Amino acid sequence: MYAIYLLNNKHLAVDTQFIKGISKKKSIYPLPNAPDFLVGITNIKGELYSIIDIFNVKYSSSTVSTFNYVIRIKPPHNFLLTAATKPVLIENTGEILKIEPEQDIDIFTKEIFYYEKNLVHLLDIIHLDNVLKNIHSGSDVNKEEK
Amino acid sequence: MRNREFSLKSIILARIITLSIIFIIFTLALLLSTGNIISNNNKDKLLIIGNNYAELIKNKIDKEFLQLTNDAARLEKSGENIETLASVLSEKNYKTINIYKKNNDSYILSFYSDEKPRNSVLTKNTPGLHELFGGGTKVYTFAESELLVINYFSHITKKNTEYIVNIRKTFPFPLNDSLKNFAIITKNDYTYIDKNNEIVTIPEQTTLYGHENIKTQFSVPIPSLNAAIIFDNDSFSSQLTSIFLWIIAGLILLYIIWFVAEISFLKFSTNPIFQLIPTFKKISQGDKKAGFVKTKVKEFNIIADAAKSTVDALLNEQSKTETLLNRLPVPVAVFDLNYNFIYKNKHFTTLFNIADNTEATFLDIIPASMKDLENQLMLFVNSPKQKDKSEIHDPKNDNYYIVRFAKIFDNNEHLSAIMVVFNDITFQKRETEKQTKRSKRVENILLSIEEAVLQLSTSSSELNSTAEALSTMLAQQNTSVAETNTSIHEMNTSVANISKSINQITELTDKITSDSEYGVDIMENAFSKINNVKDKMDTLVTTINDLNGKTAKITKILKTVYDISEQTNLLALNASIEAVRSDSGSQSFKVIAEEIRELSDKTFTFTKEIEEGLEKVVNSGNSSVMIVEETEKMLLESYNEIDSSKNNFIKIKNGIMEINSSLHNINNVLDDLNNASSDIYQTSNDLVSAMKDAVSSSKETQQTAHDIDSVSKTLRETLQEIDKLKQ
Repeated sequence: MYAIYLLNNKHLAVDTQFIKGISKKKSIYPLPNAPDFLVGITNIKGELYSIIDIFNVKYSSSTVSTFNYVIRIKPPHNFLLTAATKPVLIENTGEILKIEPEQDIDIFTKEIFYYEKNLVHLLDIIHLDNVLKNIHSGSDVNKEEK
Repeated sequence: MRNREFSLKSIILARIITLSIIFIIFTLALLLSTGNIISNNNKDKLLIIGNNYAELIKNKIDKEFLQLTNDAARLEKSGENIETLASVLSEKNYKTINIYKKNNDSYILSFYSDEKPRNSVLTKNTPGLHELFGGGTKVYTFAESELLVINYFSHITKKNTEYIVNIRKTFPFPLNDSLKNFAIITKNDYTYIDKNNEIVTIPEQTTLYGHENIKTQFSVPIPSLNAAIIFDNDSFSSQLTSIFLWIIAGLILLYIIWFVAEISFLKFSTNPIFQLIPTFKKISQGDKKAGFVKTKVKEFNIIADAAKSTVDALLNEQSKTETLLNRLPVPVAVFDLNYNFIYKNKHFTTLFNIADNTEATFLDIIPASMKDLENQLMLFVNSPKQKDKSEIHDPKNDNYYIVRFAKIFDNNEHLSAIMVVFNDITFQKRETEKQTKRSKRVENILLSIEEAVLQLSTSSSELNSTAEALSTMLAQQNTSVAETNTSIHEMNTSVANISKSINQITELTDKITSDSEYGVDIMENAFSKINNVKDKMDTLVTTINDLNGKTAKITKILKTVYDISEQTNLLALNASIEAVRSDSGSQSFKVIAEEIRELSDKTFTFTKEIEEGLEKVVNSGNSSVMIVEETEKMLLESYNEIDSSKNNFIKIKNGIMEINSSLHNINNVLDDLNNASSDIYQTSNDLVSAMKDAVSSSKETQQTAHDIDSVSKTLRETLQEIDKLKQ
């Protein structure tokens, strides 16, 4: 099962096996000197999570993608992904397309498929987590891809 | 030679045609001569070029032959080994050196610098070379693949050994390709020894160099190569054609320029003349008022202006003369030597009773009764000494005239016209006769007048004074009595009218009083009703405000419901995700989660609808309050207006009551006035009857005046008689 949502006018999907829960956006505490993809931290049921803007991970930009919902990713990953719309659950991916993914998120894209006439990028959460950890320890994103 | 006239138009046309023909002839002549010159020139040039090429090729071959002979001599005379030297020489200058060494009866190839020739043994039977066996040299020159090849064979003896040295040199034709359309072809079939030292025959007309398929125009021989250069003068003719075309184009352009210039010259210089000519024609036909067209050429305009001003001056002179003659009070006519009228004034036409535009001559119009006039005229014209003045009697009308003739000369002192003037002297003649008869009659009439006047003077003076006095008196009295009577009558009528109007006013004021009382009552009624409405509106406003407050509360509650549904939805979503992760046994859990999610979706939708409905209720409530407030304001305004109207009504009512009482007083006074004026009217009527008596007595006096009239009539008749006599 997959949760499909909209971010930055693009349809993204996450396998529900990685999802711990979905909540509305609450107060966010931005961190000083943090990289652009780290929007801030927030408190959900007494636990602190870092919020990741996936469109700022590969290429850094000063703008943050607008969002209303956050998707909690299960341990051991333990971070929040932003979503502009409330995610919708679907059972199957449908036909997998062999086309080039969006440049911003190509390295995190596992597959691309059609859902209700829209292109949907299925995110590779494990790879994303690895990349995030490596960025933390100072290695290059694209190098990691290789 | 006949003095023939030509039209300017035909001259111009002839000029254009002639010049065009000359131009065409010139063009053709030029083209023909130029074509021949260029053609001949081209031929000469090509011949020279061909000869040059032949010479060039010959020189080249001679030069190379010399070198080859040299080299052969070197090979023979040098102390070095012949093969070593040959290899040096071939490296240095030549394409190929082959050396055949004598062995018994034949020569066998002992050295070759390039590739090995196919024919490596030369025997006495080898065609084309067998003559070398006795010694000497043999040269073959030929063309191969656009190249010139010299194949040189020489028989040499070195250190008692006999050799045949074969040196072959290849070089490009010493020609440049700047001239197109030429070729070098063989003149006869001819044979040569090729690089493999085998004999080859080239058939006649084979192209050795240059373009194939050239139409031969003329050829130049190359004896050294047993060939000829052939030329095709296509290039020349195309060059010629282009030159021709350019010449023709240039000439046509020149012609067009000339033609345009000619046309514009015609338009601007000759055409204006044609524009002026019709006016000149009109003037010559006698239309002296014809105007000239304004042309574009200054000089023509000056000519036209001069002509016009001359014609105008002439016209002016003519009109002056005609005015003078017209003003003469006597009959005047001018006619030319054929007695056609040039001019005649209206007295003349009246005298001879002819039409103004008659075409008859002067002799035609002389009546038979005045034949003497014709004789006089003939005498005057034919004899210079004839008297120019004579008296003529017209027995038809019994008129007498003095006729004067005058000769009019032109600038060259030639007689051009004759003027005739009639002076009517009939009146003078008659007057003298009448004078004597008239004096006698006047004397008799004067006597009878004297009698009548005496009789009249006595009676008329008396009567006149009496009648004048009486009429003055009567006139004065009659006027004053009539005036008085009219005034009294008018006054009576006015008083009656006033009385009637006042009665009407009184009735009206009574009605207004009652109406205004009714009005006050209605106003009070309206007051109470307005107050009622105002109270009810206040209540309505309060109710609507209450409703608004309650709606706001409901909206708050809805917000909470909305939040709850949102939260539930999220919970359900999470539950769904959780259910998937759990084992397959929790399928029912997943279904429940889905149901809850759908329920929360529905709740959300309904909440939204309720919210929209409530918003509409609040909006309409707010607008109702505004409308009610506005209505209340308007009601208050009308309340104030009615209040002031009510006060006004009361004031009107009081005022009208006052007017009413004053009107009743006036009515009484008017009644008294009416009675008094009736008395005055009676008195004035008495006066009128007295006046009638006076008028009847004045009529009697008028009768007497009539008598005087009859006497004066007699006098008038007498005086008329005197008038007649005077005539």
